[in-house]
Amino acid sequence: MSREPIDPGAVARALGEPLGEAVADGQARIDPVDVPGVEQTIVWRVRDELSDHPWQVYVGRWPDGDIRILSAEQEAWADLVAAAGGARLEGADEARAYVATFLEVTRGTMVIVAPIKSLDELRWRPGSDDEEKAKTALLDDPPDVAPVSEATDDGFHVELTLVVDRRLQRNSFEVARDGEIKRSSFKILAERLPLPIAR
Amino acid sequence: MGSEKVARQPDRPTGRRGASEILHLQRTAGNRAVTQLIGAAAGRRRPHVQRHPEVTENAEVGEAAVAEATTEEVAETTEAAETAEPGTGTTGTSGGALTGDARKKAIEDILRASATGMWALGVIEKWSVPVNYEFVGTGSFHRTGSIFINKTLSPGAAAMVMMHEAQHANTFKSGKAADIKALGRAEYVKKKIADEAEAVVRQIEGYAVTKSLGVDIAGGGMTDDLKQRYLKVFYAKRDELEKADPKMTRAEINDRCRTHARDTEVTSWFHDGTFVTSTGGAANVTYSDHYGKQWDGEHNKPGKK
Repeated sequence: MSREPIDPGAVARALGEPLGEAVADGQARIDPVDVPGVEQTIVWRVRDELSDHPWQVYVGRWPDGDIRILSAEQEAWADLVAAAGGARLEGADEARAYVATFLEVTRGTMVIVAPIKSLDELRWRPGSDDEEKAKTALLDDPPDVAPVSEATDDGFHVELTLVVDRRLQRNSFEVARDGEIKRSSFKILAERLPLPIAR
Repeated sequence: MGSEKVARQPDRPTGRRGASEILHLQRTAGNRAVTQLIGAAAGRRRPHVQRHPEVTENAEVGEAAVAEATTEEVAETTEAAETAEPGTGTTGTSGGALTGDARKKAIEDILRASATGMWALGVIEKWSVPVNYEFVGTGSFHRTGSIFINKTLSPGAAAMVMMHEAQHANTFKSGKAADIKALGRAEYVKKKIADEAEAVVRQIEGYAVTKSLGVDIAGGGMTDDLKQRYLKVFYAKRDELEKADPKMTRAEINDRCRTHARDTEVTSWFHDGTFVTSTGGAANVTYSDHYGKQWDGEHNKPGKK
């Protein structure tokens, strides 16, 4: 398993100014991210908790040494995994973990994305009258939010319920055993909920 | 009548209308006509329109009246989607096609529509604040006298963000920014959140006019619901003041209500989980926690006594 550390200078250059400064001077931390089904380290999380608005971005390292941003770049993720020789997803649980990692790494940098298994995990905050009505409607007629992950003829079918900012949505994925996400779609279950807003 | 002026515009390309043109229409034809025109040009379904029980004017949120701008608000659809959409819906907004000077002009034109936007432009001009309108990176922010507006934001959303960041730039350039080295922990957190709360109120004040232009403001940091929460407190205070002193002037009432709503309701959003950092994941880190940790980090650096 390759755990070769990433060059902070190269990460700083990939991020550009002014965020690269925080990497160059050591204020931002760089941590490896495990991608289920992929042995070598190909993804890193870059996080600066000390700036006024903390920021975080994911970067990937290609086999030729190129470093690129993966946040909000799903095509780059697909290219990176393929360039690394693909994933080897050996079971439905691993496929679900792979999808969860894909969603976190490629989420917009100001978008909250959190898979949930139960509505009890929702972190409510005080809301407007309309938001409170939306919350009541959701809880009065709760959808099934349990994750699904099962093997199919050519890979895996994964369903996850996600908090995406103020909405709740059900996402479906068809994932090949090599990590290629062949199809993805989502259906909004509820929106304008009194849930945290990233700033 | 404004609609006649619209009809006489020669050589007008079909399709997208520029922000300057929208502002011209707004001032001549009124917001309703502009909303209809924009909707028609974009081939969109005409949105439901509703009014506040009372017409909300900028003056009511502590701002001078702006041109002929009214404050019709477009009700957001709250119904859940009937069918599945392709993709994941997790990567955020996309800035659209405008780049370079065209993007800068579109953002500035939108800012010129509201008193708050004009104020933001005034801050930028007064302090010669460098602005990167196409920042390639994470988020949008003010940093040591410069403003970075993410390229993924639409011009409307970018204008909303500019109102917020201009507040921080003004505080910084005025030498009033919270000094993490000089202040105690509690005072630092309080001062940081005070500046954030003022920046949010700036956005609230510019929200109605900007939204009434019909431009996309998704991702701009302000929503109907946040404004609703602000106005609920604002109006309650207004009623209280009017009852207590019927002779109090409208300007004084507005000023006091603004301060009250900012220092109570809006400030609470940085403590109660309404606003959280984008890095906290499921931990939902509030800004009161974040600024405290930021202070801790500064005062517990290796080698510091």
